[in-house]
Amino acid sequence: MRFDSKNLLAFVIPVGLILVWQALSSLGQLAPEVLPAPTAVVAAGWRLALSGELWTNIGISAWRAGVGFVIGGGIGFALGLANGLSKLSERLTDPTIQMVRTIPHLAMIPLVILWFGIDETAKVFLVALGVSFPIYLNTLHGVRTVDAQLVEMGRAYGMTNRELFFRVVLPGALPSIFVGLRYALGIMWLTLIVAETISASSGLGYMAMNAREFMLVDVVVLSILIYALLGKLADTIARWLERATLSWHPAYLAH
Amino acid sequence: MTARSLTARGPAAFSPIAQRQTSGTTRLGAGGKGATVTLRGLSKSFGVKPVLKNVDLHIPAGQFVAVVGKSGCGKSTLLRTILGLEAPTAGDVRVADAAPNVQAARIMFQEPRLLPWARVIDNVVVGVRNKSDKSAARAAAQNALDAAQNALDEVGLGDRGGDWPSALSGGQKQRVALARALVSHPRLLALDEPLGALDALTRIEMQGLVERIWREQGFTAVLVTHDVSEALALADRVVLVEDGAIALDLAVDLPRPRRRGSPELARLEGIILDQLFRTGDRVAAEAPADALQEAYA
Ligand SMILES: Nc1ncnc2c1ncn2[C@@H]1O[C@H](COP(=O)(O)OP(=O)(O)OP(=O)(O)O)[C@@H](O)[C@H]1O
Ligand SMILES: [Mg+2]
Repeated sequence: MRFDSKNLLAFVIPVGLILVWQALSSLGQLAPEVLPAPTAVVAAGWRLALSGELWTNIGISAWRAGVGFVIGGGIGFALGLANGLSKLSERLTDPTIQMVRTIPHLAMIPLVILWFGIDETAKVFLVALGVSFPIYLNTLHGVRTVDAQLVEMGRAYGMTNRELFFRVVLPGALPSIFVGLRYALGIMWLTLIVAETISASSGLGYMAMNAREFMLVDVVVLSILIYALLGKLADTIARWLERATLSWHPAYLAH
Repeated sequence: MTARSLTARGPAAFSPIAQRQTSGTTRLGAGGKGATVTLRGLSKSFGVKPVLKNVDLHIPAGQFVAVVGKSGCGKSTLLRTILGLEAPTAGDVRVADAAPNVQAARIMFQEPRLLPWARVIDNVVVGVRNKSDKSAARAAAQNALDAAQNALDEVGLGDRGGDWPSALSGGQKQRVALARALVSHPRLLALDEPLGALDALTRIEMQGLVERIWREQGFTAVLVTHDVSEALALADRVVLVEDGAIALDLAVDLPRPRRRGSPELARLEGIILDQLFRTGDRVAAEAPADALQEAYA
């Protein structure tokens, strides 16, 4: 990534906020038990990093997020494609999916705890459930709105169904699929935080809840910041993928 | 004479004008490279709505036919049925070719219909026939690229192969679409108002390009157009479709390249426009006998 003055501009506000926060803490305006100084948070991070606790928790959270995302995203993507391409499949499954979609997936937490206890399955299940709907909806929308004229051109030029799918339908649906992907990434972290906060014995959410019991405010703040960083990281990867695959799109053409 | 009486003729009586055209033409190789198109009693309805009504038409190999008519009269439907994109409700369509078993027809649409996610050259490759088997895949891909490059050179865009379609102007996009249609050396090229969206100057330029390539390659061309002067500038024969039937079948026996605004073109244009906007049967009766097909009425 290039770093020019425009990119630097994005850092002005976050860096400014941290400086003000540090200044207020150093001047004694912020009580450490309300909001510890940035240096204290960094120190807490260092401590946990050295003990290895931080990495274990980040690892377990990332694993849950990843597995849940792959399962839920895969199912949503497959159903979106199937229902976009086949009327029969759509009539069969879409009404049910639309009905289940209206249930806020976090409302399932009590039931999920009853079903799976607090082990990994519960978290992965919730993430997968939450992630599948945005991917499903946007994939379906993308496939449906592929330019019919291009499809007709493909047929008139003798493309097989397979060629038509890979050369016309999928690339045409991709921008919409990416919208779903980025939305799903947001839901993925949200679901995981809530699930880990409520019922877990490991992971970042657990680390934060556990720290709260011992009044370790610095660790709580640290966990929140790490969530933010991970979310940003996932979004950056999605954006990078988007740029790489949609380079033909006028919105992404090199300026 | 009405449109009905013109099309009510039997399947055996195919256009004598068409035959006169081929025997009169001196273009080399035209007979061998173009496909012959024969429609017999062709009807097409969408639901209960009849769009084409018992159309008979014979287009000899290598002929350039223009189809004109008011909006909604069924021109596109006629073209799409010839290409097999629509199945006829009744009657049959035969596209006979010197080399059978070759999918020989290509269509150019009103819009360029380029894949926005494929580079210009890859868009032309879409038109390459015989996407071959796996074993020779690499050599075939290279051949396809070479053919596409040649086609792009032919339409004057040889240096734009690496661009995205969105970087091209409207006229350039349509030229890429022409290259895509021509890259497989089709026996029959169907053009559905391909120049309709272009500005007047670009349109004249494109007409020249289409005419030049048609003369070089000798395929059969069917051009649907709103523009009567375009039809007369390019075609050997102008077919006027009215209400789903052929109302006028006019030979244009003029040397090429044709000079715009010549009195002969103006006279033919008058005949067509009169038929298009005629009141009752008056015009058909006034039209010169040699231009109208009434012999077999
Ligand atoms: N797929 C379809 N389903 C139903 N009706 C159709 C369909 N395609 C065409 N029609 C109808 O058939 C008639 C002829 O359509 P067509 O597109 O052939 O007209 P056209 O002569 O090409 O008109 P234009 O010059 O405006 O392109 C129109 O009335 C149109 O509404
Ligand atoms: Mg049309």
